[in-house]
Amino acid sequence: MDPSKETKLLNGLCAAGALGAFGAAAYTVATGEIFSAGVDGLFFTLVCLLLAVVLAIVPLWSLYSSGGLRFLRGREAAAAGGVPNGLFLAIPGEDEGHAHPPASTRQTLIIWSWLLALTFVEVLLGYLHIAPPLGMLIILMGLSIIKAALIMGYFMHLKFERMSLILTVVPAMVICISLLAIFFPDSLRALNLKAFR
Amino acid sequence: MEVAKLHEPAVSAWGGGAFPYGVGHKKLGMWLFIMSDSLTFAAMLVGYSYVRVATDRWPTPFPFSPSIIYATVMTACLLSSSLTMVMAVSAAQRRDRPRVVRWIFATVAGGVAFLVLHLIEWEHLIHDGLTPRAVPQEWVGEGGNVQSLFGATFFTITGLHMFHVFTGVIYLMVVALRRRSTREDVEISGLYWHFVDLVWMFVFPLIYLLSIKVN
Repeated sequence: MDPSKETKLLNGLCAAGALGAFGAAAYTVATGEIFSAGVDGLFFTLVCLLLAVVLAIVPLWSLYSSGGLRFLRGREAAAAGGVPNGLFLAIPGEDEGHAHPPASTRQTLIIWSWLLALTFVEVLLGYLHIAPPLGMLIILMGLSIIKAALIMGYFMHLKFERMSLILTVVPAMVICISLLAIFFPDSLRALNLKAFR
Repeated sequence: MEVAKLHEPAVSAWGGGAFPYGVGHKKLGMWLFIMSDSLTFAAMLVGYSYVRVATDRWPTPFPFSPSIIYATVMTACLLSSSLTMVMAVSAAQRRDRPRVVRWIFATVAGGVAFLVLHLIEWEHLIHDGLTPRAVPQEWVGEGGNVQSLFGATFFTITGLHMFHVFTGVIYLMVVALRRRSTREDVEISGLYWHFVDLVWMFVFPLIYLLSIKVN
């Protein structure tokens, strides 16, 4: 099979899958099943939507890189006739594409100070109990996520990397870790069963 | 670099011979490893959270002195070692090899300080009677049941993290002392070290701050 036919088949399958997943999500909303069985219906709808988005990226990507979807490009690129540019065109460099200035010491020290300050706030909040336990957990996790974002963005330099790397690394981690939360309703069930006393 | 094919309007970054992510394969490999390892820690922490939510009276035994003080100092050690690692990467970009080695040694010192303090913390708790299967009787009162998942979750999560710190220390020493280490090697080991710090940012509140002793 020559490459363009292969590409068309891939695009077609992914578009069909995306439409199917979107259709399933739309079905649950239309029939009201989205509200069934506690959060289960909502979870199903969200997973179908996520699948639809992820599958739709493939044909949309193909369109973008073959010159379509003009409105997504920068103004000059669009005027120049839709040549794919910007995000993903390779720039072969002598240092494997690493062509931006290093972080200044001042910026690094500022980020480090913020990290220490947030740590002390967290320790303080451990003693202040300004909210019920669930609220404390959310606040502490929120602060930790901010610290994680600072470390990943500045120390690990992710903020200054190519968008392709950011989009490969961050959404997958966030989604997979968030999906783990599906187990918490069961832990409440276990608590009510007095199974772990 | 690939010559543009007839049916493609321009050179594709994904056709081979290019750098679609802007970083080399080694760095991409480290990022992929970091993604998978953070899922491992996330799974451990969610497992710990699950059993904690499902338990009626989870022990909250950490007194301010020494546990919370130690844990806070440990956090500061790791954060400072991340700082020195960023300095090492900057020095590497300036091709200043002696400074790189010195900054990496400072990072290793922070890591070793973390390990030593953490092991002392472990020793306190083990001395008090904490085991992977049971907690000390004082933590659950006179007639209380000492069987608890506290020990298992605590030692597994902090132990796995300590193992990562230990491995990171060795990795960094190898990078610092090897003559053929490149600037990229310094950056990649830096990524691993920041990841270890990042995991601690979540372990510290979940394991320590949510188990502060309330009198």
